[in-house]
Amino acid sequence: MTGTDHPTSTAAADEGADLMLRWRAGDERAFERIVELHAGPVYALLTRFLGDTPNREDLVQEVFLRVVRARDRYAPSARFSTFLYTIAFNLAANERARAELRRTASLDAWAGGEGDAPDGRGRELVDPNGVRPDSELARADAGELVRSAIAELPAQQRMALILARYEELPYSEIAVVLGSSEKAVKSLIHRARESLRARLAPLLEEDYA
Amino acid sequence: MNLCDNFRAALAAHLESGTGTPRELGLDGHVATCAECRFALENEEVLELWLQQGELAGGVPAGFVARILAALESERDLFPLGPLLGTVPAPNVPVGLAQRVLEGVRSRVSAPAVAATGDFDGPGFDRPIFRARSRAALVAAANPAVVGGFRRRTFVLAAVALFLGILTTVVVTRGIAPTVPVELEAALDDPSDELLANLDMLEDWELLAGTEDDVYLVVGALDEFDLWLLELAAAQSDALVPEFETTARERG
Repeated sequence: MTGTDHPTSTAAADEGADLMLRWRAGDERAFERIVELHAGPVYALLTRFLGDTPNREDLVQEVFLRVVRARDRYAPSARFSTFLYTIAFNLAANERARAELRRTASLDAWAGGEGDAPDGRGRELVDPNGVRPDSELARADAGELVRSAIAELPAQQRMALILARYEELPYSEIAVVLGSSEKAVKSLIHRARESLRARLAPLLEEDYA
Repeated sequence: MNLCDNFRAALAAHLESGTGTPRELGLDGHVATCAECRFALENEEVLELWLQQGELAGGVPAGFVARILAALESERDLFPLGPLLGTVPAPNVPVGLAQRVLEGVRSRVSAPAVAATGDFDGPGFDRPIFRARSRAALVAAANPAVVGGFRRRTFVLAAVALFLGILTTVVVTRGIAPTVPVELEAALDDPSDELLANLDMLEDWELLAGTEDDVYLVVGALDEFDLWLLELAAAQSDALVPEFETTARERG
Protein backbone atom coordinates (compact mmCIF):
# COMPACT_ATOMS: atom_id res chain seq x y z
CA MET A 1 0.00 0.00 0.00
CA THR A 2 1.35 3.37 -0.88
CA GLY A 3 -0.48 5.96 0.93
CA THR A 4 -3.73 5.81 -0.87
CA ASP A 5 -5.78 4.43 1.92
CA HIS A 6 -5.61 3.48 5.51
CA PRO A 7 -7.80 1.16 7.51
CA THR A 8 -8.40 3.68 10.26
CA SER A 9 -8.09 6.95 8.53
CA THR A 10 -11.04 8.67 10.15
CA ALA A 11 -10.72 10.51 13.38
CA ALA A 12 -13.63 8.61 14.83
CA ALA A 13 -11.76 5.35 14.39
CA ASP A 14 -8.59 6.69 15.98
CA GLU A 15 -8.74 4.96 19.32
CA GLY A 16 -5.37 6.37 20.33
CA ALA A 17 -6.59 9.94 19.99
CA ASP A 18 -9.70 9.14 21.96
CA LEU A 19 -7.63 7.56 24.71
CA MET A 20 -5.34 10.59 24.83
CA LEU A 21 -8.32 12.86 25.34
CA ARG A 22 -9.68 10.64 28.06
CA TRP A 23 -6.31 10.60 29.73
CA ARG A 24 -6.10 14.38 29.66
CA ALA A 25 -9.50 14.43 31.30
CA GLY A 26 -8.16 12.37 34.19
CA ASP A 27 -8.76 8.80 33.15
CA GLU A 28 -5.53 7.13 34.21
CA ARG A 29 -6.58 3.82 32.78
CA ALA A 30 -6.62 5.40 29.33
CA PHE A 31 -2.85 5.83 29.37
CA GLU A 32 -2.38 2.22 30.36
CA ARG A 33 -4.52 1.27 27.40
CA ILE A 34 -2.45 3.50 25.10
CA VAL A 35 0.70 1.68 26.15
CA GLU A 36 -0.96 -1.69 25.80
CA LEU A 37 -2.12 -0.89 22.28
CA HIS A 38 0.92 0.87 20.93
CA ALA A 39 4.01 -0.47 22.71
CA GLY A 40 4.19 -3.44 20.37
CA PRO A 41 3.82 -1.46 17.13
CA VAL A 42 6.37 1.09 18.29
CA TYR A 43 8.76 -1.71 19.19
CA ALA A 44 8.23 -3.26 15.76
CA LEU A 45 8.81 0.07 14.05
CA LEU A 46 12.02 0.64 15.97
CA THR A 47 13.14 -2.88 15.18
CA ARG A 48 12.56 -2.38 11.50
CA PHE A 49 14.34 0.95 11.58
CA LEU A 50 17.26 0.17 13.88
CA GLY A 51 17.60 -3.57 13.53
CA ASP A 52 18.19 -5.82 16.50
CA THR A 53 19.81 -3.20 18.69
CA PRO A 54 19.70 -4.12 22.37
CA ASN A 55 18.15 -0.89 23.64
CA ARG A 56 14.92 -0.93 21.68
CA GLU A 57 12.84 -1.52 24.77
CA ASP A 58 14.43 1.47 26.44
CA LEU A 59 13.59 3.54 23.40
CA VAL A 60 9.98 2.39 23.55
CA GLN A 61 9.87 3.54 27.14
CA GLU A 62 11.39 6.86 26.09
CA VAL A 63 8.73 7.26 23.42
CA PHE A 64 5.94 6.90 25.95
CA LEU A 65 7.71 9.09 28.46
CA ARG A 66 7.63 11.82 25.85
CA VAL A 67 3.97 11.12 25.32
CA VAL A 68 3.47 11.77 29.02
CA ARG A 69 5.38 15.01 28.82
CA ALA A 70 3.54 16.11 25.68
CA ARG A 71 0.09 15.24 26.93
CA ASP A 72 -1.09 18.83 27.09
CA ARG A 73 0.32 19.65 23.68
CA TYR A 74 -1.24 16.75 21.86
CA ALA A 75 -3.51 17.91 19.05
CA PRO A 76 -6.38 15.54 18.25
CA SER A 77 -6.33 16.80 14.68
CA ALA A 78 -3.39 14.52 14.05
CA ARG A 79 -3.79 10.79 14.14
CA PHE A 80 -2.36 9.37 17.33
CA SER A 81 -0.19 6.89 15.45
CA THR A 82 1.26 9.79 13.48
CA PHE A 83 1.98 11.63 16.68
CA LEU A 84 3.56 8.52 18.17
CA TYR A 85 5.61 7.64 15.11
CA THR A 86 6.92 11.19 14.93
CA ILE A 87 8.34 10.82 18.40
CA ALA A 88 9.67 7.37 17.61
CA PHE A 89 11.32 8.53 14.41
CA ASN A 90 13.08 11.42 16.10
CA LEU A 91 14.37 9.16 18.84
CA ALA A 92 15.37 6.45 16.41
CA ALA A 93 17.10 8.90 14.10
CA ASN A 94 19.10 10.23 17.03
CA GLU A 95 19.93 6.71 18.08
CA ARG A 96 21.05 5.83 14.60
CA ALA A 97 23.18 8.98 14.42
CA ARG A 98 24.93 7.96 17.59
CA ALA A 99 25.44 4.47 16.26
CA GLU A 100 26.86 5.88 13.06
CA LEU A 101 29.42 7.80 15.04
CA ARG A 102 30.55 4.57 16.61
CA ARG A 103 30.95 2.80 13.34
CA THR A 104 34.38 2.74 11.82
CA ALA A 105 33.20 1.81 8.37
CA SER A 106 30.36 3.91 7.09
CA LEU A 107 28.68 5.22 4.04
CA ASP A 108 29.42 8.65 5.43
CA ALA A 109 32.33 8.80 3.03
CA TRP A 110 29.69 10.36 0.89
CA ALA A 111 29.15 13.62 2.66
CA GLY A 112 25.99 14.45 0.84
CA GLY A 113 23.65 12.86 3.35
CA GLU A 114 20.88 11.00 1.60
CA GLY A 115 21.28 12.71 -1.72
CA ASP A 116 23.07 11.55 -4.78
CA ALA A 117 26.71 12.15 -5.40
CA PRO A 118 27.75 15.54 -6.68
CA ASP A 119 28.17 14.16 -10.15
CA GLY A 120 24.55 13.13 -10.20
CA ARG A 121 25.09 9.42 -9.98
CA GLY A 122 23.17 7.32 -7.53
CA ARG A 123 24.79 6.31 -4.28
CA GLU A 124 27.11 3.41 -4.69
CA LEU A 125 27.27 0.39 -2.49
CA VAL A 126 30.43 0.82 -0.50
CA ASP A 127 29.49 -0.60 2.86
CA PRO A 128 31.50 -3.77 3.47
CA ASN A 129 28.73 -5.04 5.73
CA GLY A 130 26.02 -4.43 3.19
CA VAL A 131 24.38 -6.82 0.79
CA ARG A 132 26.85 -8.66 -1.35
CA PRO A 133 26.24 -10.54 -4.56
CA ASP A 134 26.96 -14.04 -5.69
CA SER A 135 27.85 -16.65 -3.16
CA GLU A 136 26.84 -14.65 -0.09
CA LEU A 137 23.44 -13.98 -1.51
CA ALA A 138 23.01 -17.61 -2.31
CA ARG A 139 23.77 -18.61 1.24
CA ALA A 140 21.85 -16.02 3.12
CA ASP A 141 18.18 -15.85 3.83
CA ALA A 142 16.30 -13.57 1.45
CA GLY A 143 14.42 -11.83 4.22
CA GLU A 144 17.62 -11.08 6.06
CA LEU A 145 19.18 -9.70 2.91
CA VAL A 146 16.24 -7.42 2.27
CA ARG A 147 16.36 -6.27 5.84
CA SER A 148 20.06 -5.54 5.51
CA ALA A 149 19.46 -3.62 2.33
CA ILE A 150 16.76 -1.56 4.00
CA ALA A 151 19.05 -0.94 6.95
CA GLU A 152 21.60 0.64 4.64
CA LEU A 153 19.16 3.21 3.33
CA PRO A 154 19.49 6.77 4.60
CA ALA A 155 17.33 7.41 7.65
CA GLN A 156 14.51 9.32 6.01
CA GLN A 157 14.28 7.00 3.04
CA ARG A 158 14.23 4.01 5.33
CA MET A 159 11.58 5.38 7.64
CA ALA A 160 9.44 6.51 4.72
CA LEU A 161 9.65 3.07 3.17
CA ILE A 162 8.91 1.30 6.47
CA LEU A 163 5.92 3.49 7.24
CA ALA A 164 4.51 3.07 3.75
CA ARG A 165 5.18 -0.62 3.30
CA TYR A 166 4.90 -2.12 6.73
CA GLU A 167 2.88 0.37 8.74
CA GLU A 168 0.67 1.26 5.78
CA LEU A 169 0.58 4.95 6.56
CA PRO A 170 -0.59 7.30 3.82
CA TYR A 171 1.92 9.71 2.38
CA SER A 172 0.24 12.62 4.10
CA GLU A 173 0.93 11.09 7.51
CA ILE A 174 4.41 9.98 6.60
CA ALA A 175 5.08 13.58 5.68
CA VAL A 176 3.99 14.64 9.16
CA VAL A 177 6.20 12.04 10.79
CA LEU A 178 9.22 13.08 8.77
CA GLY A 179 8.45 16.78 9.00
CA SER A 180 8.34 16.97 5.25
CA SER A 181 5.92 17.33 2.34
CA GLU A 182 3.98 14.65 0.54
CA LYS A 183 5.96 15.31 -2.59
CA ALA A 184 9.20 14.87 -0.70
CA VAL A 185 7.87 11.63 0.76
CA LYS A 186 7.12 10.30 -2.69
CA SER A 187 10.61 11.21 -3.74
CA LEU A 188 12.09 9.52 -0.69
CA ILE A 189 10.17 6.31 -1.33
CA HIS A 190 11.03 6.33 -4.99
CA ARG A 191 14.70 6.73 -4.24
CA ALA A 192 14.51 4.08 -1.56
CA ARG A 193 12.88 1.71 -4.01
CA GLU A 194 15.53 2.39 -6.61
CA SER A 195 18.30 1.85 -4.11
CA LEU A 196 16.81 -1.43 -3.01
CA ARG A 197 16.46 -2.60 -6.56
CA ALA A 198 20.10 -1.86 -7.16
CA ARG A 199 21.19 -3.52 -3.96
CA LEU A 200 19.05 -6.57 -4.41
CA ALA A 201 19.56 -6.94 -8.13
CA PRO A 202 21.80 -10.00 -7.84
CA LEU A 203 19.23 -11.73 -5.71
CA LEU A 204 16.40 -10.76 -8.02
CA GLU A 205 18.25 -11.88 -11.10
CA GLU A 206 19.12 -15.15 -9.47
CA ASP A 207 15.57 -15.91 -8.45
CA TYR A 208 13.56 -14.45 -11.25
CA ALA A 209 15.65 -14.02 -14.36
CA MET B 1 -14.50 -7.20 -15.60
CA ASN B 2 -13.06 -8.29 -12.32
CA LEU B 3 -11.73 -6.02 -9.58
CA CYS B 4 -8.25 -5.96 -11.06
CA ASP B 5 -9.58 -4.91 -14.45
CA ASN B 6 -11.69 -2.21 -12.87
CA PHE B 7 -8.78 -0.92 -10.94
CA ARG B 8 -6.39 -0.90 -13.88
CA ALA B 9 -8.95 0.80 -16.06
CA ALA B 10 -9.56 3.47 -13.47
CA LEU B 11 -5.86 3.99 -13.03
CA ALA B 12 -5.22 4.24 -16.75
CA ALA B 13 -8.10 6.66 -17.16
CA HIS B 14 -6.77 8.78 -14.39
CA LEU B 15 -3.33 8.90 -15.92
CA GLU B 16 -4.51 9.55 -19.45
CA SER B 17 -7.24 12.05 -18.85
CA GLY B 18 -7.07 13.11 -15.24
CA THR B 19 -10.32 11.48 -14.18
CA GLY B 20 -10.85 10.45 -10.59
CA THR B 21 -8.08 8.52 -8.92
CA PRO B 22 -8.72 4.91 -7.89
CA ARG B 23 -9.11 6.19 -4.39
CA GLU B 24 -11.67 8.75 -5.41
CA LEU B 25 -13.49 6.05 -7.32
CA GLY B 26 -13.59 3.82 -4.29
CA LEU B 27 -11.21 1.23 -5.69
CA ASP B 28 -8.31 1.84 -3.33
CA GLY B 29 -9.46 -0.89 -0.98
CA HIS B 30 -8.64 -3.43 -3.65
CA VAL B 31 -4.92 -2.75 -3.46
CA ALA B 32 -4.91 -3.87 0.13
CA THR B 33 -5.46 -7.42 -1.02
CA CYS B 34 -3.94 -7.39 -4.50
CA ALA B 35 -0.18 -7.12 -4.76
CA GLU B 36 -0.18 -6.60 -8.50
CA CYS B 37 -2.59 -3.70 -8.44
CA ARG B 38 -0.77 -2.27 -5.49
CA PHE B 39 2.38 -2.34 -7.53
CA ALA B 40 0.59 -0.65 -10.41
CA LEU B 41 -0.56 2.05 -8.06
CA GLU B 42 2.97 2.50 -6.78
CA ASN B 43 4.13 2.97 -10.31
CA GLU B 44 1.44 5.57 -10.77
CA GLU B 45 2.90 7.40 -7.83
CA VAL B 46 6.33 7.23 -9.38
CA LEU B 47 5.01 8.46 -12.66
CA GLU B 48 3.23 11.28 -10.93
CA LEU B 49 6.46 12.20 -9.27
CA TRP B 50 8.25 12.29 -12.61
CA LEU B 51 5.57 14.48 -14.01
CA GLN B 52 5.81 16.82 -11.05
CA GLN B 53 9.53 17.01 -11.35
CA GLY B 54 9.25 18.16 -14.91
CA GLU B 55 11.11 15.28 -16.40
CA LEU B 56 8.28 14.89 -18.84
CA ALA B 57 7.83 18.59 -19.45
CA GLY B 58 6.32 19.59 -22.72
CA GLY B 59 3.24 17.47 -22.54
CA VAL B 60 2.56 13.78 -22.64
CA PRO B 61 2.35 12.32 -26.11
CA ALA B 62 -0.43 9.91 -27.00
CA GLY B 63 0.22 6.43 -25.73
CA PHE B 64 3.19 7.53 -23.70
CA VAL B 65 1.61 6.65 -20.40
CA ALA B 66 0.71 3.22 -21.66
CA ARG B 67 4.29 2.64 -22.73
CA ILE B 68 5.56 3.82 -19.37
CA LEU B 69 3.21 1.49 -17.59
CA ALA B 70 4.24 -1.35 -19.83
CA ALA B 71 7.85 -0.63 -19.09
CA LEU B 72 7.14 -0.53 -15.41
CA GLU B 73 5.25 -3.79 -15.61
CA SER B 74 8.23 -5.28 -17.36
CA GLU B 75 10.46 -3.89 -14.69
CA ARG B 76 8.27 -5.49 -12.08
CA ASP B 77 8.89 -8.85 -13.67
CA LEU B 78 12.59 -8.39 -13.36
CA PHE B 79 12.56 -6.68 -10.01
CA PRO B 80 9.60 -7.86 -7.97
CA LEU B 81 10.39 -5.56 -5.12
CA GLY B 82 6.98 -5.76 -3.54
CA PRO B 83 7.02 -9.49 -2.87
CA LEU B 84 10.66 -9.28 -1.88
CA LEU B 85 9.91 -6.68 0.77
CA GLY B 86 7.29 -9.07 2.04
CA THR B 87 9.97 -11.62 2.82
CA VAL B 88 11.13 -9.58 5.80
CA PRO B 89 9.54 -11.20 8.82
CA ALA B 90 7.53 -9.10 11.23
CA PRO B 91 9.56 -8.25 14.33
CA ASN B 92 8.82 -10.31 17.40
CA VAL B 93 7.51 -8.19 20.23
CA PRO B 94 8.81 -9.47 23.58
CA VAL B 95 6.29 -10.79 26.06
CA GLY B 96 5.32 -8.33 28.78
CA LEU B 97 6.68 -5.34 26.88
CA ALA B 98 3.70 -3.06 27.57
CA GLN B 99 3.75 -3.75 31.30
CA ARG B 100 7.49 -3.12 31.57
CA VAL B 101 7.20 0.06 29.57
CA LEU B 102 4.33 1.25 31.73
CA GLU B 103 6.24 0.56 34.93
CA GLY B 104 9.35 2.22 33.56
CA VAL B 105 7.47 5.33 32.52
CA ARG B 106 5.74 5.57 35.88
CA SER B 107 8.97 5.23 37.81
CA ARG B 108 10.61 7.92 35.73
CA VAL B 109 7.67 10.26 36.01
CA SER B 110 7.55 9.94 39.80
CA ALA B 111 11.31 10.20 40.27
CA PRO B 112 11.40 14.02 40.51
CA ALA B 113 8.91 13.95 43.37
CA VAL B 114 11.04 11.45 45.24
CA ALA B 115 14.13 13.52 44.67
CA ALA B 116 12.41 16.69 45.76
CA THR B 117 10.98 15.35 48.98
CA GLY B 118 13.37 12.63 50.00
CA ASP B 119 10.31 10.84 51.26
CA PHE B 120 10.65 7.48 49.66
CA ASP B 121 8.03 5.94 51.89
CA GLY B 122 5.63 8.82 51.80
CA PRO B 123 2.28 8.96 50.14
CA GLY B 124 1.57 10.04 46.62
CA PHE B 125 3.50 7.62 44.47
CA ASP B 126 0.52 6.29 42.65
CA ARG B 127 -2.12 8.22 40.81
CA PRO B 128 -1.64 11.80 42.03
CA ILE B 129 2.00 11.86 41.01
CA PHE B 130 1.29 10.18 37.76
CA ARG B 131 -1.24 12.85 36.94
CA ALA B 132 1.02 15.71 37.92
CA ARG B 133 2.23 17.73 34.98
CA SER B 134 4.97 19.84 36.49
CA ARG B 135 7.72 19.55 39.03
CA ALA B 136 5.83 21.73 41.47
CA ALA B 137 2.74 19.61 41.02
CA LEU B 138 4.78 16.47 41.52
CA VAL B 139 6.21 17.81 44.76
CA ALA B 140 2.82 18.88 45.99
CA ALA B 141 1.31 15.56 45.04
CA ALA B 142 4.02 13.65 46.83
CA ASN B 143 3.49 15.32 50.20
CA PRO B 144 1.79 18.67 50.19
CA ALA B 145 1.93 19.30 53.95
CA VAL B 146 5.57 18.94 54.81
CA VAL B 147 7.61 19.32 51.63
CA GLY B 148 9.08 22.74 52.35
CA GLY B 149 9.51 22.29 56.09
CA PHE B 150 10.97 18.87 55.67
CA ARG B 151 13.71 20.07 53.45
CA ARG B 152 14.60 23.11 55.58
CA ARG B 153 14.63 21.05 58.75
CA THR B 154 16.86 18.50 57.15
CA PHE B 155 19.41 21.10 56.18
CA VAL B 156 19.33 22.82 59.58
CA LEU B 157 19.72 19.57 61.47
CA ALA B 158 22.54 18.48 59.24
CA ALA B 159 24.37 21.80 59.69
CA VAL B 160 23.97 21.74 63.48
CA ALA B 161 25.12 18.14 63.68
CA LEU B 162 28.18 18.94 61.59
CA PHE B 163 29.09 21.94 63.73
CA LEU B 164 28.68 20.02 66.96
CA GLY B 165 30.74 17.18 65.60
CA ILE B 166 33.62 19.45 64.68
CA LEU B 167 33.45 21.27 68.02
CA THR B 168 33.42 18.04 70.00
CA THR B 169 36.33 16.66 68.04
CA VAL B 170 38.43 19.77 68.69
CA VAL B 171 37.65 19.91 72.38
CA VAL B 172 38.20 16.21 73.01
CA THR B 173 41.38 16.09 70.98
CA ARG B 174 42.92 19.05 72.75
CA GLY B 175 41.94 17.67 76.13
CA ILE B 176 43.57 14.30 75.60
CA ALA B 177 46.74 15.33 73.82
CA PRO B 178 48.18 18.81 74.58
CA THR B 179 49.58 20.42 71.55
CA VAL B 180 53.36 20.58 71.41
CA PRO B 181 54.51 24.18 70.99
CA VAL B 182 55.82 24.61 67.50
CA GLU B 183 59.01 26.34 68.64
CA LEU B 184 59.92 23.38 70.84
CA GLU B 185 59.37 20.61 68.39
CA ALA B 186 62.80 20.95 66.85
CA ALA B 187 64.51 20.67 70.23
CA LEU B 188 63.13 17.21 70.80
CA ASP B 189 65.83 15.87 68.55
CA ASP B 190 68.59 17.31 70.72
CA PRO B 191 67.71 17.37 74.44
CA SER B 192 70.20 18.83 76.90
CA ASP B 193 72.31 16.68 79.23
CA GLU B 194 70.62 18.17 82.27
CA LEU B 195 67.22 17.22 80.97
CA LEU B 196 68.30 13.67 80.26
CA ALA B 197 69.79 13.42 83.76
CA ASN B 198 66.60 14.65 85.36
CA LEU B 199 64.48 12.25 83.29
CA ASP B 200 66.77 9.38 84.30
CA MET B 201 66.41 10.39 87.90
CA LEU B 202 62.65 10.44 87.60
CA GLU B 203 62.68 6.97 86.15
CA ASP B 204 65.09 5.67 88.82
CA TRP B 205 62.93 6.99 91.60
CA GLU B 206 59.85 5.62 89.96
CA LEU B 207 58.28 9.00 90.16
CA LEU B 208 56.52 8.39 86.91
CA ALA B 209 54.67 5.63 88.70
CA GLY B 210 53.94 7.92 91.64
CA THR B 211 55.74 5.85 94.31
CA GLU B 212 57.89 8.57 95.88
CA ASP B 213 56.81 11.60 97.87
CA ASP B 214 59.86 13.86 98.00
CA VAL B 215 61.65 14.94 94.88
CA TYR B 216 64.35 17.53 94.28
CA LEU B 217 65.22 18.42 90.75
CA VAL B 218 68.16 20.30 89.42
CA VAL B 219 66.44 22.95 87.42
CA GLY B 220 69.00 25.67 87.22
CA ALA B 221 70.42 24.57 83.90
CA LEU B 222 67.13 23.70 82.25
CA ASP B 223 65.81 25.81 79.45
CA GLU B 224 62.17 26.37 78.57
CA PHE B 225 62.00 23.24 76.49
CA ASP B 226 63.39 21.07 79.25
CA LEU B 227 60.90 22.48 81.69
CA TRP B 228 58.09 21.74 79.32
CA LEU B 229 59.14 18.09 79.05
CA LEU B 230 59.41 17.83 82.78
CA GLU B 231 55.94 19.24 83.05
CA LEU B 232 54.76 16.45 80.81
CA ALA B 233 56.53 13.93 83.00
CA ALA B 234 55.08 15.49 86.13
CA ALA B 235 51.63 15.05 84.71
CA GLN B 236 52.28 11.33 84.96
CA SER B 237 53.04 11.51 88.69
CA ASP B 238 50.97 13.13 91.37
CA ALA B 239 53.98 13.07 93.71
CA LEU B 240 56.10 15.18 91.43
CA VAL B 241 53.62 17.94 90.75
CA PRO B 242 53.81 19.86 94.06
CA GLU B 243 57.59 19.89 94.15
CA PHE B 244 57.87 20.81 90.53
CA GLU B 245 55.41 23.61 90.88
CA THR B 246 57.35 24.92 93.89
CA THR B 247 60.57 24.83 91.99
CA ALA B 248 59.04 26.47 89.01
CA ARG B 249 57.66 29.28 91.16
CA GLU B 250 61.07 29.77 92.75
CA ARG B 251 62.65 30.05 89.34
CA GLY B 252 60.02 32.39 88.11
